[in-house]
Parts: sequence; structure tokens; C-alpha cells
Amino acid sequence: MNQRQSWILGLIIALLALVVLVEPSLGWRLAGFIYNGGDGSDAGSALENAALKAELARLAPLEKYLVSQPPRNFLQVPIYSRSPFNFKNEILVAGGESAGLKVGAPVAIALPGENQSGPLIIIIGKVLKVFEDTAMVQTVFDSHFRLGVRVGKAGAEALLLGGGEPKVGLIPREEPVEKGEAVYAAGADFPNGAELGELGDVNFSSEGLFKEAPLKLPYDFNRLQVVSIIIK
Amino acid sequence: MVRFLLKLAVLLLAIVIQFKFLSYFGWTLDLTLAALVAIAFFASWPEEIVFLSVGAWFLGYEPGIGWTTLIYLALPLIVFVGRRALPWQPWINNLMALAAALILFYLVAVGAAALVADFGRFLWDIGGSLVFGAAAFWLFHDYLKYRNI
Repeated sequence: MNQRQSWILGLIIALLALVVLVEPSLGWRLAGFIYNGGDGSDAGSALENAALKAELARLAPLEKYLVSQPPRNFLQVPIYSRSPFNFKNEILVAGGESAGLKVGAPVAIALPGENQSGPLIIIIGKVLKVFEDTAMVQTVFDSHFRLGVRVGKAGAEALLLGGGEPKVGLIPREEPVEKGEAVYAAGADFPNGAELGELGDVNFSSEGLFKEAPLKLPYDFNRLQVVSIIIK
Repeated sequence: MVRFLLKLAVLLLAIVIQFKFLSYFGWTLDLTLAALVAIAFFASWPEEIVFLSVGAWFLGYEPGIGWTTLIYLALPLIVFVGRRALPWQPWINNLMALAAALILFYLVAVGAAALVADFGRFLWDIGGSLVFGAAAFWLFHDYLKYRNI
């Protein structure tokens, strides 16, 4: 390598180091741009896109997901970045301590309903860490996500086990749960009746003591750009 | 210079594919780690620092550098420091180092239970990452040597 090439290489290294150190959030934006394919890579356009998508979603048959009394304190925030690793499904959202967020707060997606009974609310995770202006959300796709849930009209108690394919486990074997029944959050921090999805095919667990079923979700997580945090 | 730009191009390509996989399938291959481990066998100290910084810049998803990202980037650094101590053929060294890095990372980051619960996906991750890592290593090792670049 001659002296000129060394200088150019040095300059590139210095420039890269400067950008990495001075503007770390640019990395989130670039990663978001790659992830979304250039669609809604910044917070403002993400919110606009979400509003448009929500409007379109209003036309879809969402009736079964409607809840009559939605929580009042919804904070709608765009997703800044996502964990790029497997088994660890966390998202960073634009809202933190300054916005009143607390660890454990439920995170949902809310879509306008077809009638006057309120928006559709589906829980997708909970706040794991809170920073000054941002918060880390652990989603139901994270392998460490756990949440007490109730299943169906009978309200059978069960446990939601997070993962690439979330599963509802520990359903008492005598409970008459069926495929297609709604799964509701039962945690103390979660709004009463907020849904997570519905049961897939119900089977007995390997040891035969409980029933279990995959959780079928009515949304495409990979396309989400905005979530709602429920503040008490 | 060409070698530096080629390594940077491979790293950026790995990052783009990793995020695209995540976007389309909801899970991904650890191509960035594969690229960084392969690069660790050929980089100088300043280059290694730049490549790890670029990796941290894109993969860091929380304010500051989270411990997960830190572990992810520490593994190629360990390979870089210990690359002359590895006993096998160069291309086997690369594959063994990458496989060990992947297993170690996920054991520390998510634990054995999560890996066992979704072992098939983990095997796909390791397999895909090893193929990419082997291709990157071949590019840096053989292709450049034959082309005398």
C-alpha cells in the first residue's frame, strides 16, 4: 500500500469512526430503512403510514377483536429499531421516562373499529426497560416473554410462552377449550379483556398433564411501525 | 485499499441481508457475525476497529451499546486476537470459530432452554451463517490471492 492509499484509508476510517461516535441514532435509521425497504423510515412518516393502514384496516372484518371499554391512556409511538438477533424479539420505541412510561406497561396495537364500541386492542408485549426518551419493549415473540392469560368464554387460566411461534401452555386438561377461542391477557398491569390472539390446534402437552396450543395472531408483526403503550 | 473496501462491502452486504431476512421471515441468519469472524482473520488493528464499529452502529438497537450487542461484537474480537493460535487449516479455523461464536452468543444471550425449544431454527441459523462465512473467507483468502489483489 503506497502513501496515498494509506492516507485515503486513514480518511475513510476517521470518517466512519466520526459518524459512528457522533451520530449513533443514524444507525437505527439506516437499519430501519433497510428493514422497511425505505418505507416510513422516520417517526413522522411511520405515524402517517400507520394512520393510513389503520384506516384501510377498518374495512377488514375486525368485529371479533373489538373491546367495549378501551383504556383511556394510550400513547401511540413509532418503532425506532428492532433486535437483529434471533430468539430475542425486542423493539425500541420513541417514548420514555419523560412521557411517563414505566417498566411492565402493556404494549398494544390499536385499530379503529367498524362500529362505535371502540378500537380493536391487541396486546403485543410489555415495556422491559425505560430510558429518558425511549423504551425497550419485549414482544410476545421473545423467547423469555411470559404472561398469565385466560382462554375462551370459560376463562380458563393458562400461561403464554413467548417465542418465534408463541404458545399457550399450562391449560388445565379438564378445561373444554377449542381452536379459535380468544386468548386474553390476565396480568394485573393489563387492561381487562385485552386480547392477544386466538388458539390454534389444541393438543395435550408431552407429559399429558395440561393442554397447549399455538397462539394465532391477527397481525403481521414484521410490518408494524407504530405501537400503543397503555399508561396508567 | 481494495482489500479494505471489499471487506467493508461484504460486511455491509451481510448487514443488509440480515435485516431483510428479519423483515421478511421474522427470524434471520447471523451473517454479520459470519462476516466479522471471516474478516477477523485478515484485518489489521485499525481495520478491525472500523468493522466492529460499523457492526455496532447498525446492530445496536438501544441507547448506548447494550450487553447483547457488546457480546456479539466481542466474539469476532476474540477471534482476531487469537487467530494465530487456532490449530486447524485456515478455512476450518474460520468455520469452527464462527460455529463456536454463534453457540456461545445464543447460550449467553437467551439461554439453552430457548435454543432447545426452537432447535430447528437455530440449526438453520448456524447452517446459513456457516455457508456465508465460508464464502466470505474464500473471497478474502483465495480469490484475492489468485487475482493478486
